[in-house]
Amino acid sequence: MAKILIIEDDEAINNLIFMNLNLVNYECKQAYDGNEAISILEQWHPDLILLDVMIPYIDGFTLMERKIFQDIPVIFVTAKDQIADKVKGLKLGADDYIVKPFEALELLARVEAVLRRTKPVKRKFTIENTVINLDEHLVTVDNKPVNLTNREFELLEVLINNCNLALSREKLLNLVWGHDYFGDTRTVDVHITKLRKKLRLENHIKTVYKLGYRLEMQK
Amino acid sequence: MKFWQKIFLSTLVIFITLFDIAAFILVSYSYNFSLKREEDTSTREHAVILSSIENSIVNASELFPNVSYNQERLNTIIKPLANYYEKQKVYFALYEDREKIYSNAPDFDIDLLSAQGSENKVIKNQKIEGNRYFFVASKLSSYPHLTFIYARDISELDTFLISISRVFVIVSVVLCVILGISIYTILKRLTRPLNELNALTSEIASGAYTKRVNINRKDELGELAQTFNIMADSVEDKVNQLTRVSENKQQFIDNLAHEMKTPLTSILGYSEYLQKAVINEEQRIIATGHLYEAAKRLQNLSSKLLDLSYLRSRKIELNQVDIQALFSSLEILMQPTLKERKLRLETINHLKWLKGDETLLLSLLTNLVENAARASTENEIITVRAYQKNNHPILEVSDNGCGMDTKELEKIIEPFYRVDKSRSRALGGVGLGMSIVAQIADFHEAKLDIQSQQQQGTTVRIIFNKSITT
Repeated sequence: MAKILIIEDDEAINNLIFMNLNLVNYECKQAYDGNEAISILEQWHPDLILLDVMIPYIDGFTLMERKIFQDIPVIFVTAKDQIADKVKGLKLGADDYIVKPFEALELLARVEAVLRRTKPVKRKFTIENTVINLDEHLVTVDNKPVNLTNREFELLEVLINNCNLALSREKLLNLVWGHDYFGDTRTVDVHITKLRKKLRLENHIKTVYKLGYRLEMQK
Repeated sequence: MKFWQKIFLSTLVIFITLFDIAAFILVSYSYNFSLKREEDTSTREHAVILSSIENSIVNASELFPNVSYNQERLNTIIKPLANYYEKQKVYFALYEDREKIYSNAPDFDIDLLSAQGSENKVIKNQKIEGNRYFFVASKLSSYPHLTFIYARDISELDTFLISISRVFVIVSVVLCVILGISIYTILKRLTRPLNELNALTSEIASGAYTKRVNINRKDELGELAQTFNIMADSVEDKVNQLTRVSENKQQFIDNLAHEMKTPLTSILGYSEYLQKAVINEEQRIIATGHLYEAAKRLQNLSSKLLDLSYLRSRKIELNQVDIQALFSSLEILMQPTLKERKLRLETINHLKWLKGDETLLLSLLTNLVENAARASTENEIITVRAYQKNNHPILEVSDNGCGMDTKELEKIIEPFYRVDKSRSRALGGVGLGMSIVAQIADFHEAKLDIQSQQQQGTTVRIIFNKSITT
């Protein structure tokens, strides 16, 4: 899985990002100030950096200006929501910008988007006897290919991208069917049921009480 | 109508009226005077001529007694006289009863013939065919059936009247024009400051608070301009003050919003995480720990904010505060923090009492000691002193902690400014302590003096007024 460096001075938020990224199996390291980030980068080469602007010793903008990160993609994570700062961050070469407070799903989606652009990895997942190859649009159970409709495949992709995290029916409807879809949330239930059956993932696609569904995968 | 126009018109109207009245009085007086003089001359001349005619007639009748008196004889007597006087524009007429004997006078009113006796003169001033005449008529004393009429042409008087009136009209018009021009220039000059003031007032009203009038005069307008400038000064001051206050408020709100964002991000993030993620026990403890911290930070923030707003709305009452008791309360209050951070608090008191508000002073000391505790490392000592120097009572809190540099010292009173953000946050600081301290010091009219050196420690002194203690 991709490696991510989190540079954020607030311990709580650093941990929050760390734990969320851990859920979807990214390998993460944490730095709490500019100097610490530099020393970590000397021995470790991450695929993505999440960077807070206001950090002690050397701030985020300065780190960017000094080209400390070379060609590693950067996402700014900061409470500064002024447009000028966004523009400055993006001009300095940041790939994206997340403003606190953020939702876990938003964070994951942006991280995923940047990584897909900058570091295409093989997205092949194995859950018990089910093998899912997202790149090749291929799903096999016991080495036998399973036929999935486009919707079912998209739903599976969203679940995998946000694995170990509960997604509400509305969110799924939004992410898979799109904003302009006027269907019932029951559509989601129907598709989930089909996916469970076709892929024999009854024990992995869990119904979370009052929330929605969650695909649980071992790390 | 404008002010200058009013003055202009009224001055002009008053001038013209007065001038014309004066001219009228002058002209009519001089006319009447001349008329009177003419009348005198006429009567006198009439009398002389009358007696000369009468003498001639008497002489003639004595010289030629047999020559009967008749109209022809009278004619020969009067004619040379009349011819002589005609050059002087004096005309005669001689009537016998109602019958004309001789006349070179213009046609006059026949009433004149009714004159009775030589002493009884009829005097008349009459206008005939465009000329004015002065008539004097009377009977000859020796020949009462004869009436002698004397007429004097006084048209010159009328001509004089007309020409002098014309002169006055011309003079008054010329004077009016001169007066008008001079009043106009004077008024324009006098009222220019008013126009300037007027223009400036509207500029200031539309927001140009820095503008001032530049009028150097020693009259009321100069005074007005000066007073106006003073007013503009105070308006500008007030506006600046209000702007500053509102900027400070805005800054405070912006900072507050920023301050709240971090714990809120924590709370939102971790609650979402707890709700949605697959987690183990360890992660649960970390997440709830952060949740608790964030909530606690918000609580701290809100209590400090309440302190501040309480301070702002509070009416201060200064009483005698027993310093010893104040220090014991401080020790009790700070005990948990000090214990947790393994610090020692030392109090040295050389003052009996201080005039102040006990609760506020306690809050001030608590905030200072909290700050000192955050700056200190384990086993260090925080010292609180109360003493007097140069008659000024002083409260002092000093530590041997990390200190700060001069640049940071300047900003320390600003709300939400923290010397070391992460360190302060980790220890529960919200960045309002020094704001509260400054506010309380301000209430006591005390000065805040902060001395600090990096890695050496910080000393904060609250220097009270001399009058506040004995």
